[in-house]
Amino acid sequence: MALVLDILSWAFIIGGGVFSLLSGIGVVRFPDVFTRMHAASLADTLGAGLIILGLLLQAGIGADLVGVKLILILVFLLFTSPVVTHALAQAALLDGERPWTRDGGPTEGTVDVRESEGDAFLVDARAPDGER
Amino acid sequence: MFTTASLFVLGTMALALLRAVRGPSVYDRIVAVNLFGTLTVVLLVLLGFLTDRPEFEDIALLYVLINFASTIAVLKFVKYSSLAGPRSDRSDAAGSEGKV
Repeated sequence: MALVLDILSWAFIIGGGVFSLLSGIGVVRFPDVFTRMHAASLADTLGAGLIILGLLLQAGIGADLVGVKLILILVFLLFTSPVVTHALAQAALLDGERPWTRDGGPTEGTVDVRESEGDAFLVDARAPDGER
Repeated sequence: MFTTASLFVLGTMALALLRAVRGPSVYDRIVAVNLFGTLTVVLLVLLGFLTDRPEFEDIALLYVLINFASTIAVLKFVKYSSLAGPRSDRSDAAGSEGKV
């Protein structure tokens, strides 16, 4: 039984390490902010998730509530990383970053910030004095 | 096992740092720093297992929350040029959020 748990946690931890390394390679090599965000979220979910699951198999609930703390870390990561990614994508889009496409054209359903002058939310989110 | 995973995580942290140094826009840098923070959490947990000191999990737990708050704060600062949010005295912005 202990051997099965060891093998499982090995697989989880090494899998998580490989996934986070892939995410790092993606962050370096992808062409624009949005694709890099996509690569970075891989480490937040699969990378950290698999590593912490593997450690959880090693620790059990354990003395000093190690397992409970691991579960809490996992839960906080899974709650906070989508919030950060969403806020970041919205900020980049409002700041005028255009998503990368193969032919350089606009993506489908693009909100053009510079042309929607009447939109109260978009106008508000940019610097009102035009200081940037 | 823990050493191997730590090496993987350290390699990823180096790559994230590379992007944070090179990133053309400020958002690239924020993405990279956020990734770096997440990997720091994982590294802290692994360090707790490597050295058999469960106190490191508490530090990691704290660092998750600090990482979240700091990323949002830096983002707000970049977006609005202040930490207080958008400078406006309008009240009609709340209704039009669904358009974005």
